[in-house]
Amino acid sequence: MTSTETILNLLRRANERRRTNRIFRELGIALSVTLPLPVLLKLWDLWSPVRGRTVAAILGVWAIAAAAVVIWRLVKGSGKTNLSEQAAELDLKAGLDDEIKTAYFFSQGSRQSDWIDAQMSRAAKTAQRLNLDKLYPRTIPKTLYTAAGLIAALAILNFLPLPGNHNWLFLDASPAFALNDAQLKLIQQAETLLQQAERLGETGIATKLQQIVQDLQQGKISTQEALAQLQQLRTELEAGNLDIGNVNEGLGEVAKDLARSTTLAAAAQSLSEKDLTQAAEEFREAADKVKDMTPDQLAEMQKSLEQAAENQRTGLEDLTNEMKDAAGAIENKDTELTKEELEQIADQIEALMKEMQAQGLKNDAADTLDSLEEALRQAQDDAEPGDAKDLELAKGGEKNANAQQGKKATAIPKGQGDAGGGNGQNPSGQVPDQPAPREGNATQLDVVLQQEELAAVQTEDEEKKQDLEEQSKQERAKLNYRNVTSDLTPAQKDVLNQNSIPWEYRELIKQYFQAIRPQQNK
Amino acid sequence: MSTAIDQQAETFQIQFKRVREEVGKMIVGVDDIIDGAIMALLANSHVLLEGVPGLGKTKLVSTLSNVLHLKFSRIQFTPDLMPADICGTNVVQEDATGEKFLQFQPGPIFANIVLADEVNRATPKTQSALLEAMEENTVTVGKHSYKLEPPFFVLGTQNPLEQEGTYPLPEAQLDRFFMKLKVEYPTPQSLHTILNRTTKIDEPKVSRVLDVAQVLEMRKTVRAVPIARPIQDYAVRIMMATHPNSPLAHAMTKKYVRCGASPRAAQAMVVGGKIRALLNSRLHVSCADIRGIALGALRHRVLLNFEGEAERLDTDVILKAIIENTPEPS
Repeated sequence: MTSTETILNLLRRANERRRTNRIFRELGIALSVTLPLPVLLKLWDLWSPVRGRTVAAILGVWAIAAAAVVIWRLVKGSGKTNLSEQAAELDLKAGLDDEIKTAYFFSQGSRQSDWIDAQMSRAAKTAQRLNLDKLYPRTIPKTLYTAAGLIAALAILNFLPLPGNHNWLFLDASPAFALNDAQLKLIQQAETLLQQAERLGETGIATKLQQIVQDLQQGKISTQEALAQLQQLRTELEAGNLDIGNVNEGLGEVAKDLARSTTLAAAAQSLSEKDLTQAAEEFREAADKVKDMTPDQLAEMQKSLEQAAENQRTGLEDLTNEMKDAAGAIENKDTELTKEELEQIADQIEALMKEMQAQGLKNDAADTLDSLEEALRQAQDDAEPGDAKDLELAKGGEKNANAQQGKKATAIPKGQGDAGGGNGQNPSGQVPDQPAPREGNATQLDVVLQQEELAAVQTEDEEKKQDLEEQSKQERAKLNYRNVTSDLTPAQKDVLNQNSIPWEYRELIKQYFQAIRPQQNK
Repeated sequence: MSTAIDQQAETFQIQFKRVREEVGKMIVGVDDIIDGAIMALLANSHVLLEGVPGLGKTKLVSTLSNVLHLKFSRIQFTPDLMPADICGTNVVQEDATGEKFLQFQPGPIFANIVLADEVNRATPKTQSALLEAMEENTVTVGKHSYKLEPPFFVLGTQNPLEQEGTYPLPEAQLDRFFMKLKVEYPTPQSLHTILNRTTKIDEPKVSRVLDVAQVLEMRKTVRAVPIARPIQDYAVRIMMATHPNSPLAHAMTKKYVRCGASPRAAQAMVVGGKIRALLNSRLHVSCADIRGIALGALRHRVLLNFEGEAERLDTDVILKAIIENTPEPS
């Protein structure tokens, strides 16, 4: 190998080594500059969970930016230095007093002399002696250690066994909306009821509810949108509602009329006891006995059926029509037709029973959805003050739902399984002892305890006054109106609901009454 | 071939060291001045020594001539010194037949080493006589030019304190000096050595270590040392930085310098760099060599402007700033 080749070879090797080191250094810098962001984001996530979509968006932008920085630094670091510069640096590092630089310069020129040859020969010997491992040691830059530390920190933070810690490495992140236990319970309850209702004919409501909850948790819809959709779902549930109270009342009247016939007395008794299954059986038995009945019995049955058919109530139209047809068949002395009509009455009673059963389930589901809506709304409203109140309110909603569940109407037709139904419901299909379906957002009773001297308090001991002031200083009190115990009977509530004051006028009326209230002197 | 070159370089280094050591026996504490004087001799140029009287300037020159076995002469410059007193003159002579003829009587300049003591005390006319000899290595008297025998080496001295009745050397003449060396007061330690050597019965004696031929061979060796273009460019950039109108000019140059160094300065830096390279056992000139010689080679070639003079600025300050701020070639 000639002197020139030796020198050039050394320079190329040094250049490559330097380039490698520079690439590592630049990579380390790029990573140590970019990695703190996800680590900080993860720390923030531990403090306040960040929803999956946000994490994905931030990390996506970060990944692009980080890639750009890394590429930029790598391109910057991978650029080859020209050999002249490399020679200068080598001279500087090895303290060679420009020997390699001079030799490289001479190697590139055509002017040769003995002295130049001698210089290059001496430089080549020096080049052979140089230890590149010492001059350009293969070191891992500190920045790479920093980057590795950050990566480790990110991994550790992801695997920290903390409640609510989501492991991003397994593509797990905080859901868009975190449902608490009470809300989840409400949803499960609603789903169960809807599934039962679906078995009785409703379609798709449970699936829609599942979809709403799923969308809410994935952040596809906001809480506000979820509330709107739940409202719509409830409206769907309430569409075509059967007025169970009215039906029950009608059945009672029908039973009274049918009781006048000795043949149908048993069926009437069953109807009056709301045992529709038994009533249907009784009608079938009566149908079987039609051939054996005397004309008097038939006349009696005809009369009672005619009277019963006159009870035209919503929901009982089909039944009363069948009774009317049966009465007509008896009048025509058509035994076969009479039998057939009585059997159809039995079928109608069974159909009515199923309809009432489904309606009961729907009502319960609607109530549960109502509680769920309320819990979500409270969670939305109280998002800033903290979750504690949210949980409390949700529990309140659950309590209500449980209470409603417990109050399954006493007038559910016997023998209709565990499916609930309502009794004494108002015309809109609501059970009277439950609140009427609300219009608009849930009402909140915002009580601001202000520091004012009340006449009643003024005469009492000072401690009560102190308590009031203390409450006022602490925070605004929010109470759900449903939690206020009411002394009204279901019937009274029914009346109130039937004559509900339009929502928008309530404040006005309240102000009116306050204005006309007799003023008390302090 | 490289072995021969190495041998040549090694011989140069040995001879230079021998000269330095021999001179050092007599002259103490001014190694840089000794090196500078020898370098100027080997660079085929001249040197200007500046220092107060009594620092051994004359002794240095005489010792150098003894060590090198060269013919030495000393000219004490005075205001009434005439060119003929330096160069020599035609004198009427009679031959055996009684016929008269003019015969040239060489002046003290006809020597290998000439000490021009207090050169700034002579008139410009006399100074210019020396100028021709320094530059052309010839002396012209009447219609005849007489060649000076190589090596011809002038050491001029001047006293920086007594400026009364002096004729500062013109820029053109200053430029002919390879280096301007400032002789400083010796350190206490050096002074002890001087006193020990010069106040006893036996004064140190120097021996002749080189002859003329060897000196001339050493001069050839110096010229043979190669210099790479980037290093040469470094010298050029330093020189250009002393020019106030150059794009490479330093800020201080622009402010305080009236006239920058001539190309002779670059020549001096390169040749001086080559000598330093050989002294450091190298066959190539480095930037450090250029930096090492730059101050001596440039300080008398940079002329300050009125502002610089008014602030009594030393050219060394400007030159150091230039050298520090001129980047090495990469």
